Amino acid sequence: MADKRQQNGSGSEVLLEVRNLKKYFQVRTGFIKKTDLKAVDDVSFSIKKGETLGIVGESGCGKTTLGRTILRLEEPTAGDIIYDGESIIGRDMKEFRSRMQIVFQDPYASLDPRKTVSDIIGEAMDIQKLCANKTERRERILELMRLVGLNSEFYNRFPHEFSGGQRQRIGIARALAVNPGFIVCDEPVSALDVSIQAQIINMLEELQEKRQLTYLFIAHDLAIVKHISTRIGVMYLGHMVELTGSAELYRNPLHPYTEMLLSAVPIANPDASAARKRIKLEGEVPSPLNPPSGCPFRTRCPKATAQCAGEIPVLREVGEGHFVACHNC
Amino acid sequence: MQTSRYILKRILLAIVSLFVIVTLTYFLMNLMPGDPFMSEKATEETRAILIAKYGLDQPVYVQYFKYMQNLLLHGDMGTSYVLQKGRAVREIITESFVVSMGLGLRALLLAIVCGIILGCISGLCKDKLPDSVIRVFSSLGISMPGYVVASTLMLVFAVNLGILPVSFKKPGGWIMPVITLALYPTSYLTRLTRASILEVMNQDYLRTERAKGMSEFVVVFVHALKNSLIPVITYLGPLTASILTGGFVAESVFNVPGLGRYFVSSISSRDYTMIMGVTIFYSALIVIMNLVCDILYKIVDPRIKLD
Amino acid sequence: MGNHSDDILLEVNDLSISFFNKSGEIQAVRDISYTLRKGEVLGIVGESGSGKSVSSHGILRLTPDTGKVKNGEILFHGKDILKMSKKELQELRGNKIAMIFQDPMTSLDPLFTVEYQLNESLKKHTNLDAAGRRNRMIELLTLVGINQPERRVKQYPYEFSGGMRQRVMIAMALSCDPELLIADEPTTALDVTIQAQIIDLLKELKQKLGMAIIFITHDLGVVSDICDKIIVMYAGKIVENGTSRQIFYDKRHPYTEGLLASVPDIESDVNEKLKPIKGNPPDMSCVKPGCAFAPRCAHAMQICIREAPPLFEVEEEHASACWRLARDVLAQQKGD
Repeated sequence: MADKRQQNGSGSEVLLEVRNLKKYFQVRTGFIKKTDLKAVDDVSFSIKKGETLGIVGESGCGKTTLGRTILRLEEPTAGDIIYDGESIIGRDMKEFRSRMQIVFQDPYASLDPRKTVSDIIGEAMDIQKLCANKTERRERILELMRLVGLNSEFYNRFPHEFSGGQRQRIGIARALAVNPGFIVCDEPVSALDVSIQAQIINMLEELQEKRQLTYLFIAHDLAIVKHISTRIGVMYLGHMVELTGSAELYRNPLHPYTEMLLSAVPIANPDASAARKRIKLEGEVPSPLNPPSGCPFRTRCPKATAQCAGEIPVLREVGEGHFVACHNC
Repeated sequence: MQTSRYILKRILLAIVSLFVIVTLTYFLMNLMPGDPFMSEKATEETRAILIAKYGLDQPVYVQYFKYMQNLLLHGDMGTSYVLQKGRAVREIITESFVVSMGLGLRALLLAIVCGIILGCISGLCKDKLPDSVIRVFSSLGISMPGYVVASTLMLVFAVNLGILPVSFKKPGGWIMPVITLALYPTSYLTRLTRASILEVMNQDYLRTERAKGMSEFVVVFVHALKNSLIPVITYLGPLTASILTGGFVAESVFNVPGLGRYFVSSISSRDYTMIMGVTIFYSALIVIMNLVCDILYKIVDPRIKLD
Repeated sequence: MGNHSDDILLEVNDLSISFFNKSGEIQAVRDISYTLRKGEVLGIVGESGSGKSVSSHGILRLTPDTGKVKNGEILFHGKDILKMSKKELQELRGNKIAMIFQDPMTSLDPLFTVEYQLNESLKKHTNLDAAGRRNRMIELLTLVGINQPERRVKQYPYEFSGGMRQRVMIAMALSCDPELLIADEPTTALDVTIQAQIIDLLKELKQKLGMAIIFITHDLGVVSDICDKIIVMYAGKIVENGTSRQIFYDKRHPYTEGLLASVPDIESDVNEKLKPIKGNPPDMSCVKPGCAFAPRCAHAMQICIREAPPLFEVEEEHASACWRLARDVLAQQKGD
């Protein structure tokens, strides 16, 4: 499996390129004063066709905003997004909506409770005028339902009649309905039970193979992200602090935040758990309204120096395909 | 300090609102066909003289400036043209508002006390008999128009049973008008409190309090109640304002010499100065009540960010 | 046998809790039994609908009004909590047995300061005077790692972040030196690094104060970090219990196996496909006879569908409710 992913990764063309992407929200913090909430602050990366790029980070790191901004569900404040060679900034998104899709986190909130399963899955097809007639539409919807493991008798049911896992399948079918090449998976399994998570993850992997999909997989669960991703980007307070292959990230984390993150992940194995040395991470994430000057992680970093306060470190390549944003790595 | 900034901002907004209301009303008023002297049995000549005397032949904006000048520099709202000819508007308003306020405050007190208590009972006994009974009555109270309530009370208690006086001036004459004024607010507060309590009773922090060993009494009457009262308190500002300014029906039916009557009659009789006077007064009242309410809200709920 | 009965803190026997609504009865907890010794850390693991949270709330009789304890006893130092008077129960709660909950954002009354809420517990359960209580509060906040406790104690919950609020909850729970702390998914709503801090804190406090902990979670990694003994629940029943090592290295129930196989192993370099448990958790409003896991079990036999298995002992302290073990037990008996 790992080999196959590596094969897909190298040698194939870049599908999505993100350059210096910024997304700032204006927030009122005083009488008249407004401050910028820098949700995504100068992030750049690219994803190759067939690859899965995982994005991890904790609350406030900006990963969800990143996913939504890439699809222009939020308008970027600055930067460029290039899909299959074309910039999507300033363009009418309708044609791109059939090529770039998203699966949302909350299976309970992201489906219209007043629409049937067939309506939910078919809506985008109707907008994009992908079906010639009613029969074709029905067939396509049923096929998608089969693909995601939903019984055809659910065709006219409503979301509230389903469990979380099943609703998430509906959401995935909806995303696939327009035949996209790229899907942003925004924490697609976080709200599900462990045994159901595994079902959905397997399904996403199978679909990727069958339909040659490219994924941007956003999650906070490192184990799952490592399992499904070819490469992983670690985010902290709107910045990408490390970016490299999944196995490499785990074997050889370079950024102090990545090290701490990995050491905090619980391991389902008592002996390994006890043997592991935990790197104590003090304090809490600073407010994104008032981030530290220079490197955002310096207030909690054991390696922080004077340079870290003055200069924001840039994401640069230090090993083959291994990028870090740190002055002291 | 953020609180004083907040208050300052609110006060500024209040002043601007008042100014806009006054100006708009003045011009709208003058757009109405007719003038203060149209109902009088006077000749064309007499009317022309009266109009000139009161400066009503001048262009509207000139009149407006003069009025504002008098108002802002001298606090003078002129004299009534029609309803109490020649008498200072300020005097009329003060005198009649005292009466309205007496009724209004009693009604407010009644509404708050009964509304909250009934709402609590209703919410805490959800789906049991007390709840059902209270809900029926509050639905009635909300849907019955003021004149129906007033007339019914009058008919039943004054005419048929004879236990309450028909005239406002007799002892106990304030009871029926107060009930008329209080019925809708009581019913509304009952429902509001009920909904609020029901929502709060499901909150996680009450479970934490029980887990600490707190008695059910403390859980409900210290923690749940305080949290339930927040939406109620925010409603009190507009409620007070509406009770104090909404006495028209009650005052008419029971012949109460309050400000409510003047509110409507001043318009139909085109008594310009009275219209302006009452409008300014009522608007100021409402704006101030909302302001007080905003400040109160912040004191009660520390989470509210001072915008 | 190693059975020191005065060592036993809590004994749950045949506990059943159901919820009743218009559509009928939902059997959330069905006949569960376990014991807890002084100073032990017991993990209760399960997914949604397993009954783990409901059973833990039941210990302090915090089941919401829509639910009822149908059967069973919960013995704390030999005394049945389910039969206690209201007064005795209030004496117990927050005092000898304390509880912390899942969502720190909603578990503290937003309109009262931390000081007020801590004071409530102290006033109710201790004889300390105002100064004594004040000192104790500062001591507690320091113990749970809150900086500048004198200043922060006067703040409102909304002025604390999620992780900090959870620490405040822990401080409140520990204020009267409980013998047992029940932690209902205390880290589920927190970030990974904050979760690690809280777990480390609980481990540290356990060392210092020697209290027993019941730790409810769905996260197998967390459980393997902090727990001595583990109970696995499925559809309201205990399907396996044992020490931490037994559960992870000698699992004997298909559900436990399936659960562990569903979780990706971050340490492994080989990326095998996950082996999820097929199907969905059962509908607890219409419980069928037989083993609740049978529809999803790869090893299901005829008897599994007919009759629910009892807990079979695998070895000391390790039991599993699976008919496959019946054969082993019988074989073992024959061998004796």
